[in-house]
Amino acid sequence: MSDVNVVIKTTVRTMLPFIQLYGFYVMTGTEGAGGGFQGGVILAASFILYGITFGAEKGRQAAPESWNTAFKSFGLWIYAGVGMLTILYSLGRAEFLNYSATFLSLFVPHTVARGILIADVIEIGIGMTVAASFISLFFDLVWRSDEDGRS
Amino acid sequence: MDVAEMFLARYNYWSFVVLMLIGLYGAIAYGNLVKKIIGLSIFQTAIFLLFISLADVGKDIERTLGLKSGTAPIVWEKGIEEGYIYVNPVPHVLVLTGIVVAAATLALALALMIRIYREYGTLEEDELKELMG
Amino acid sequence: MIEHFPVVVVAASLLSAFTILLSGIFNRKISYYISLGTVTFQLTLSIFILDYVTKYGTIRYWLGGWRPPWGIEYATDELGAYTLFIVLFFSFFATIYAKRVVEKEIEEYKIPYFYTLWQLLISGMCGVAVTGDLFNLFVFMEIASLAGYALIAMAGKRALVASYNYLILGTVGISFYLLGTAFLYAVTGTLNMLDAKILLSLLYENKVVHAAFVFYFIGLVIKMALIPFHIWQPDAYEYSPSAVTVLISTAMAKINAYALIRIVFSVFTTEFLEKFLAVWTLVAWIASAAIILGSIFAIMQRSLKRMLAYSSISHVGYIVLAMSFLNTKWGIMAAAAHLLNHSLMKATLFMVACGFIYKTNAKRIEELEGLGRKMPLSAAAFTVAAISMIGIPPTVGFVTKFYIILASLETGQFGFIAVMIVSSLLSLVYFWRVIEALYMKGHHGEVRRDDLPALMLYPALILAVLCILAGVFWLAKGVVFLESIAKTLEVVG
Repeated sequence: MSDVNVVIKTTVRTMLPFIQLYGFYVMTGTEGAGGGFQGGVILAASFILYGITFGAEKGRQAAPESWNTAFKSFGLWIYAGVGMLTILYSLGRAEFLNYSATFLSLFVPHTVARGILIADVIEIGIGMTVAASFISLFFDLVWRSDEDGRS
Repeated sequence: MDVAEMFLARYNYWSFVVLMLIGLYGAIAYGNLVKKIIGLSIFQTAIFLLFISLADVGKDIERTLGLKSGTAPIVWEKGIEEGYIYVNPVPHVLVLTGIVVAAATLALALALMIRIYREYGTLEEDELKELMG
Repeated sequence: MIEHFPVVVVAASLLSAFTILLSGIFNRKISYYISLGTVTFQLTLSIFILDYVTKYGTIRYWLGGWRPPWGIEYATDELGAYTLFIVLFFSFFATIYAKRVVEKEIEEYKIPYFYTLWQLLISGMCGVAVTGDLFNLFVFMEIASLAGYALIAMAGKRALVASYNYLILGTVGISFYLLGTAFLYAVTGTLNMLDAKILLSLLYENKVVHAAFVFYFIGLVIKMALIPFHIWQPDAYEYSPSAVTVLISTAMAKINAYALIRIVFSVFTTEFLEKFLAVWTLVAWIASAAIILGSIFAIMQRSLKRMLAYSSISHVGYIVLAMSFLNTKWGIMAAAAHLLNHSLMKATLFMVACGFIYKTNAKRIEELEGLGRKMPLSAAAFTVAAISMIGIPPTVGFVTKFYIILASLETGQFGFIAVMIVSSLLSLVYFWRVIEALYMKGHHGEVRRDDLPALMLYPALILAVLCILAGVFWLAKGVVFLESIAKTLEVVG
C-alpha cells in the first residue's frame, strides 16, 4: 500500500512548481488567453492537490488561515485601490479604473499604460483574491476524520 | 425552413434547451439537497452554453482562410494584417463572470449542506421537515 | 466632481468590507465602528447625488474611460438616485440597530465575518441602484444575494434550511434574468440599457424579444416573492437574525422591485407593453390575488415575524399592481412612492418585533400580552406603523393606496378600488390581534417599565415619526418629484 503512496507523492511533489508557474503565466495574460480568475484557479488547484495527496493537516500548514485572509483583503484592496487612485491622481478628471491616469503615464505613452501594465497589476490582485478564496474554501469543507467520529 | 435545417443546423440551441430543462427539473423536483444543487449546476451550465454558441461567428465567410469559423480572439499582428475573422470575445467574458458567480453559489450551497448534515443528520427534504417540526 | 460619487459609494463599501475582514484578526470590536462609519459616509454622498440629479439630470459615467456600448456605463437618473438613497437610509438605521442584537445572537468570533458580509450586501445593493448596464446589474445583484444567503444562515439551526431553499429559488430566478440578457444580446448585440432601448424600438414583433421579456419578468418576480413564487420568503424572514431581517425586508426587496421597474420601463418601453397588453392585464390580476392572498395568509399566522413576512408578500403585490397601469402617470408614481413607504413601515415593525424577542423572547402573538405597559414606547412605534399599514390618512400607507385608486379611476378599471378596500380591511384584522394583545390583555396593575436599549429604540421611534411626516411630504410637495420620475421613465399620463 505504501508503494502506491510513494509514487503519487513523488509525482505530485515534482509537478507542483510547474503547475504554479503555469498559473502565474495564465494570470498575466491580458492580451491573450487567460486572466486573473483563470490563473488564480490554477494556483488554488496546486494547493488543493497538495492537500489531497499529503493530508488535510499538512495542507493547512502550507496555507494557514491568516495568510488566506491577508491575501483576500490585499487582492481586493489592489483592485479598488488602483481604481480610486486613478480618480484621485487626476484630481477628479479621469474615471474609475481609467488606467492611463496613473503614475506610469509619466514614463510610458498613455495608450501603453492603459492597455497593458496596470491591467496586469489588477489581474494579479484578482488572482490573489480568487486563489486565497478557493484554498480557504477547500480546507473549510474538507471532512476530517477526528470530527464526529466519522471520516 | 425545412425540418432538417431546423434540427441539424441549430443543434446548439436544441442542446441548450434539453440541458436547461434537465437542470431545472433536477433543481425543483428532487427532494434530496445534493440532487438539487447538481440540477442547478447543470441549469447554469446550459445558459453558459447558449452564450458561447452565440459567439461563434464567421462560418461562411471566405476571409476565414481555411478555418471553419472565426479564430480565437487573441491580439496577433499577422491576423490583423491579413484580415482574419475573430470570434466575438464579449460572450466569453460574460461567461467567465458567470462561472465565477456559479462557483461561489456552489461553494455556499456545499457549506450549507455540510452544516445541515451536522445539525440534523440527514439530507432528504421530507425527513428534514419532520425533524424541524 | 459629483459624477464620481456613485462609483465612490460602491467602492467605499467594498473596501470597508475587506478592511473589516483584515482588522478582525487583531481586534473584533472595531468591526462595528468601521461599518457604521462607512454607511454614514455613503449616506451623505447619496444625499449629494440625489440633490445633483434632481437639478441637473442623469449622471452618465463611463467606467475606465471606455465609451459605451463596449464599456460599462453607470447611468444614475432620478429613480436610481432615489433608490440609492432609500437603500443607504435604511442600511444606516439597520446598522445602528444592529449593535445590540448582533452581540446577543451571533457568537463573538463570527462578528467580523458578519459585518464583512453586511458591507458586501450593502455594496451589491448600491451597485444595482446606480448601474446602467444589463450584465453589471446581474453581477451586483448576485453579490447582494449571496451575501444575503450567508447572512440569513448565520442564525443557526432552522435558518440553514431556510437559507438553502432561498439559495436554490433565488439562483433559478437570477439565472432566468441572465437568460433574458442572452436573448437580448443575441438580437441587439449590446448590453447597455439605453442602447438596447433604442435598438429594440425597431424589433417589437420579434419572438426572441417576447421570450426575453417573459424570462426577465419571471426571473425578477421569483426574486421579489410575488405569489405563487413566494415559498422561500416566510422561512427566510422568520429564522434569520434580527438585524438581517430589518435590512433584507426593506432594502433588498426594494432593489428587486427597482430592477423590475428599470427593465420593464427603461429597456422594454410602454409601447412594447401596449402591444403585449393582454398578458399585462393578467399581471394586474395576479398582483391583486397576491395582495389578498398574502393578507389572508398573514391572518392565519401565530408567530409575529412570520405574519410580518406574509404582510411583505402582500405588499409586493401593491408594487406590481401599481406598475401595471399603463396610460396614467399615477401608476408608476404609486410604485415609486411605495418603495419608500413600505420600507418605512416594515422597518419600524420588524425593529419592534425583533426588540420584543430580544427583551422577552416573545415570538408568538399570545406571548406579547401586557407588553404595551411594560415597553410603552416600542409598542407605540408598532401601533403607529400598524395604523400606517392599514392606510389611515395622512400616513404613508394611505398615500400609496390613494395613488393606486387615482390610477384606477383615470384608466377606468374600478375593480382595483375594491381590492384596495378589501386589503385595508384584512390588514386591520391581522394588526388588530397584535394591538389587542399588546394593550388590552395581560394582567392589569402596576408593571415596571423595561423598554428596549437606546440604540434599538431610537431608530424605531424616528422611523415611526417619519411614517407620518413622509406621508404629509408626499401629499404636499413630493408629487413634483414623483412626476419627474414618471417623465424620465416615459410613462405618459
